[in-house]
Amino acid sequence: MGQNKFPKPIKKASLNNNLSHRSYASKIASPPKYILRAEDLSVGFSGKTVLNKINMDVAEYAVTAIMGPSGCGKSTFIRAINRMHDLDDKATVSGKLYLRKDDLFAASAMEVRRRVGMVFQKPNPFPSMTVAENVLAGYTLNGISLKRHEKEQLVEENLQKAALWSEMKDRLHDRGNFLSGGQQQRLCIARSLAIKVEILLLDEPTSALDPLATLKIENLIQKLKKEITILMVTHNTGQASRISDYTAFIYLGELIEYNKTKKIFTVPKDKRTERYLSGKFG
Amino acid sequence: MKSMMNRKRADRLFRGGLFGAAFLIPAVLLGMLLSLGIIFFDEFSEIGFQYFFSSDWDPVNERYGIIVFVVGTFLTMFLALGFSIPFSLAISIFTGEIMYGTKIATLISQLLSIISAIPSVVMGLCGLFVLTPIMQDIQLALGYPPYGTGFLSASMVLAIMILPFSAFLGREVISLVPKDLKEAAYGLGATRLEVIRYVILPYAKSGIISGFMISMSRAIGETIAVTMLIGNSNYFPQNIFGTTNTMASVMANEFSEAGSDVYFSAIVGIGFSLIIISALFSLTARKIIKNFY
Repeated sequence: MGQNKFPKPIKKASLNNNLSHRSYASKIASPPKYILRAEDLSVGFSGKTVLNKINMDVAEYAVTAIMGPSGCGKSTFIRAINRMHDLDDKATVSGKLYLRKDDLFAASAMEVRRRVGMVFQKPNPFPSMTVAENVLAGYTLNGISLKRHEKEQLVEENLQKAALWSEMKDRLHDRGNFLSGGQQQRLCIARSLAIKVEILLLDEPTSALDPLATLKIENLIQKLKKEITILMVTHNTGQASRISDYTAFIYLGELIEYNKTKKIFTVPKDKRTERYLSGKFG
Repeated sequence: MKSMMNRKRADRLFRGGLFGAAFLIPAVLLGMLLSLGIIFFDEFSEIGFQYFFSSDWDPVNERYGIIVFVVGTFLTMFLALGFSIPFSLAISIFTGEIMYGTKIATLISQLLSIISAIPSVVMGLCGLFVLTPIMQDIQLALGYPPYGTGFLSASMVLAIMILPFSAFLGREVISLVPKDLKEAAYGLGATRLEVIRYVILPYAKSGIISGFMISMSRAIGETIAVTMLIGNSNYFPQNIFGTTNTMASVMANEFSEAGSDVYFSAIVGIGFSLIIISALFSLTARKIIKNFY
């Protein structure tokens, strides 16, 4: 795993202004190993561009946060990685996405989604399934049948990983929607981990949760990055600074700045990043 | 102070009005049961208890038993439901999920509501002139007497008539399945078929089943089309093309012929029993649906 050579390096883009986002994108292309690369990724809805030519590499086994004001295109970006825009007839996606060596737009959407996990803003365990069935949903949904001991092992292992085992071990056969919001969200994380995704996308995973549940999820993310790459969207700059290793700032559909979290929060290079971080807008 | 009194009085009047309206209809139902019951039990000593257990309906010899009609009612009902389920489910999924919100889906829904608006007698006529000749050909080819009518023909037409009810409800509940659940399933790599099978249908299950229940209660009482197509014989069907009668069709068919008080009471008794049976049926249906939640 790891040292993959990407098909082609990011082009040194023609610089429109002296602080083009591309120059940052290529400068940051120094995380030791990166697992995901976006090249000129654009997304539009009904002809209106929402995301404009994003170039970005995502570091492996690290937490990368994407922050920006509402409507800036940050969710649109991670939904593109999971091919969720395929479900919307009005969406048009262009550019390239690579997961390790593989062109994500060349593979089938089902295949991509089995490698790229996604946890949504609102916890969405399947209400018709029990806790255990929810963890195994990725297998059921793909028509894979498992033996009993495989099931038990997968359920325990992934609930452990999602820090939910001690709370859930006696309630495995309760319906998933009777859990608290935070538990539901961790169950959704366990569900993604169970199908052994290579990268986990989190779309504002704590915005519907109370502070305590948020703290638990944040701790979990910190722990999980040892075994999985995490790319998360947040509109909470505090959260980005607390738990991420790298931070990208997207504004009006453009990648404005992308750097190590420490750097971006202490010495932001772009005026807009600085203004956003100091609460002038967003 | 006075205006306060007026407002209180208006409030009381309003509440009284609602109460009255809410209890009027159950009172009508009670009245119907009572009046039918009185006519029925007036001659019950003549009709006798075997009425509920015998399959012998022979007004000439004053023998009355309704089992054939009860069986005929449930037979046509379940058969019609069986015919309609695959189509109804397909239409629900097609208009509620796959094509939801498109012009094609709207067109299909509009056509369905036209079907549900066709008068029963017209459906019966269409059945007689279109379906019966085809059935006759099939019966001839298979070596059965070519009546054309029978419980099979009746069930087929009945299936078309009851289909819109379950298809509409199915479409509604399927379109109400939350988008985030579907996205969660797609996000785990499921195909559309898998999302429908493992997420949408389980979520919409109780609504879909309620739709079938509505269809069934429609089928239980459907009269004219069935009367025209079922063949009106007072025996159990002898084979798959056999003729028989339902409770509703025998009433429609023989009501005008009832010469004696006993005969008349026996027919009214079928109506009485039909109300009881459909009431029991819809209560059980409710219970079943509740257990699904």
